Amino acid sequence: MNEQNHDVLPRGVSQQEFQKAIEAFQKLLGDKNVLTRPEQLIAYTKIMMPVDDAEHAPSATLVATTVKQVQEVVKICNTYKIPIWTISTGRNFGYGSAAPHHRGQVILDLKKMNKIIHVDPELCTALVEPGVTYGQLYDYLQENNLPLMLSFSAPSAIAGPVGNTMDRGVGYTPYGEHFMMQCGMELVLANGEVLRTGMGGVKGDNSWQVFKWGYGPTLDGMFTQANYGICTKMGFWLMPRPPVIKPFEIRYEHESDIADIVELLRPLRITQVIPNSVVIANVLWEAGSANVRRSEYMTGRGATPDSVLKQIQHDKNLGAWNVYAALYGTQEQVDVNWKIVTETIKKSGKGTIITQEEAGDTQPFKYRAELMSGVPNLQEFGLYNWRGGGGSMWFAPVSQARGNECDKQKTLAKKILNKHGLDYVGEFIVGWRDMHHVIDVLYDRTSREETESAYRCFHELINEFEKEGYAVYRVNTAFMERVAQSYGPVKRRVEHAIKRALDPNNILAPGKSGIDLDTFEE
Amino acid sequence: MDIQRRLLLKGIVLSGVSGCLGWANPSVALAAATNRAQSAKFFNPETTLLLVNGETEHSAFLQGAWIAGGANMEVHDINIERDFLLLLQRRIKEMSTEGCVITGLVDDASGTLIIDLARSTGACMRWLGQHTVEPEQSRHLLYSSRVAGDQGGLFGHQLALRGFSCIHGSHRKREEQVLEPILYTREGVREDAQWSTDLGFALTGDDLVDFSEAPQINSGSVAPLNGHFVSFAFKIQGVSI
Repeated sequence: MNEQNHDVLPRGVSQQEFQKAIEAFQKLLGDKNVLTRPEQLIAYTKIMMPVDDAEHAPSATLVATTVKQVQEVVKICNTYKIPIWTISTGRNFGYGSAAPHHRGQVILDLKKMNKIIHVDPELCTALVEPGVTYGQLYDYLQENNLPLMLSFSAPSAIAGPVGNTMDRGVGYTPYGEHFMMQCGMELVLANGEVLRTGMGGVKGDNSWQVFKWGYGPTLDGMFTQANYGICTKMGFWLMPRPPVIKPFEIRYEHESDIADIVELLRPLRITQVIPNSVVIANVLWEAGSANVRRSEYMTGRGATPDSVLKQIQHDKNLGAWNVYAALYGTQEQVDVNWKIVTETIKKSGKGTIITQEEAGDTQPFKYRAELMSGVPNLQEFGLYNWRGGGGSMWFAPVSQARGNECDKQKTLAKKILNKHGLDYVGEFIVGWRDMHHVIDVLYDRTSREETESAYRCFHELINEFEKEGYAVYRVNTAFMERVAQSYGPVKRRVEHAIKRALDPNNILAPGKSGIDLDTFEE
Repeated sequence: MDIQRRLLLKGIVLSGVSGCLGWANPSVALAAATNRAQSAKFFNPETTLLLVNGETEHSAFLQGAWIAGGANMEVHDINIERDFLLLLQRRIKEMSTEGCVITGLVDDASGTLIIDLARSTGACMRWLGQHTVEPEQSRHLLYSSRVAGDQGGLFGHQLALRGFSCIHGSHRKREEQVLEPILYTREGVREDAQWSTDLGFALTGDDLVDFSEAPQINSGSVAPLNGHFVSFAFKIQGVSI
């Protein structure tokens, strides 16, 4: 291998030391699995955040195929003080994509570790490697005629269960709180040791994927949204596919209806009459997902006026709010719950129910019904065409499942977004007692003006929500340090104490969730 | 439209297309295309998959691409349906042993998926661009010429010749700008269709692309391509999908 002058280097690492590390990686993984040329790295640099691409440019990408290789990679990283940013499928669009937290980090890409190790159709469990996608798993279930159902996020076909769960993502079925359904992890620690959580450390054990807690402290949670280990296997629970799935929509005419919707739905959700993670999506989310473009209605900069939103609502037969839920079970079970749901809606005096039979194959109902039924699709990528220009950031504050809280968050978010000339494109995902309020901050990255507005807007959203006692549950790499501050100094000190204990050389994903031994100040 | 049908080679007949797309001189364009096709075959023995959708499918972009890309080109109208993506992956896999070039101009939704496909297949990116063409302003975000290859740099140069301003993403030293895009902007001018022809010509052309050979569009007879688009070109060889 010829020596190469590397254009991008890890923080504090010289050309010579980096070259030595690269040669060690090449010896371990083979030349073709060590990517250093710009044309190999450019697709890893494609970000959607309103910051310079250069700030997130990797110095190299490593593609590992075995746990042993991952163990050896971290040893080399310790020797040369090389920081690595691990991705599984790399489809965390809107939260940073596949690009590293900061310039110069080496990406460890686990896409080729994509074995479905085990699916148990009786206990309804799975054990997979990080590169497995939901689409791959769906095909496996179909090909093997297994009566199981997946829960996944909207980029379902290409995202994967390990990455999504490790980032505490959510889905739209009764198993939509993915970390809750996780059971057993295998992790490569920074010193190269392999840790199995739960029952996984017991010799001869066969209950790793059925009993979460094991013995002593339960460690799984501290490895999610963290940089204490590299997950190389994950177990999780699958829902038995019920004989009947009945997806439906409730359409509401007015933006001000949100408080009533939440108050109406919460009892149905907590009592499990509606068992899935219900979605309450606003008109622009649904229009964008159905391939409606802003340019069809207006040109020029600025937020889309309410009058235009009403026009879109009318033209595309959408609600100001569009609630998607589903019932699952035998026909008898579904019939009973359907009666409860329809009577509750009728009694409330507002909301129009649309059934699958009425909606047919129209979008966005079709893709929503598929997501609630465990069928992967890519329809929601249509949102990127609403404004165009390749800018997207998810702003995801959490709230109680109370009407007044949701109304307050929606009003605050819309006011800030509109002030910066951007649109409120939002949905609430109803947990059992919480709401994941997810807003797609869409903007045009080719416009410097709009990109700068988006950056200022995102900062203001975090600041103003924080003043009201709200914080986001997940954020893109450019804002991780800022959001970590919202959760208080004690939590940060504990997180960094753990980091010092497990990864003293700070080689695993420095900066993830604001945890970085090089920059943290007590 | 049926997915299988969409994946079929569209088999555009060059002479037929030249007659209906408002080239300034169809016979000259056809002769140039023949020459280019021969030279393109010499420089690019791989098959090129040209991906388009929506407005780009009917734009002058296609003609610029066809002129420069020549004989070994398949044109596909793409979308974001999962079944379509699986079929596309299968087609790429079939061709990856011998090597193929995937190139095109598509909307943001499809562009996001295609760039991700390039990354996940370990492809070598020759070109990556983000384009916005509005009535009063045009903006082209192109990754630097060292990354994009000479075609990207030459297209940027062509934009500069047409009066576009050039803005670098940061103030880093030139040798550190390798993974940074360069923004080309122009205000107060309503773009005609020529930009998309030049883009297609540059994208599928070789490293010696000469814009004097690009087809010239009669602005009155071809609708300009307005909106937001992603352009790309990457090479896939011997990869696992």
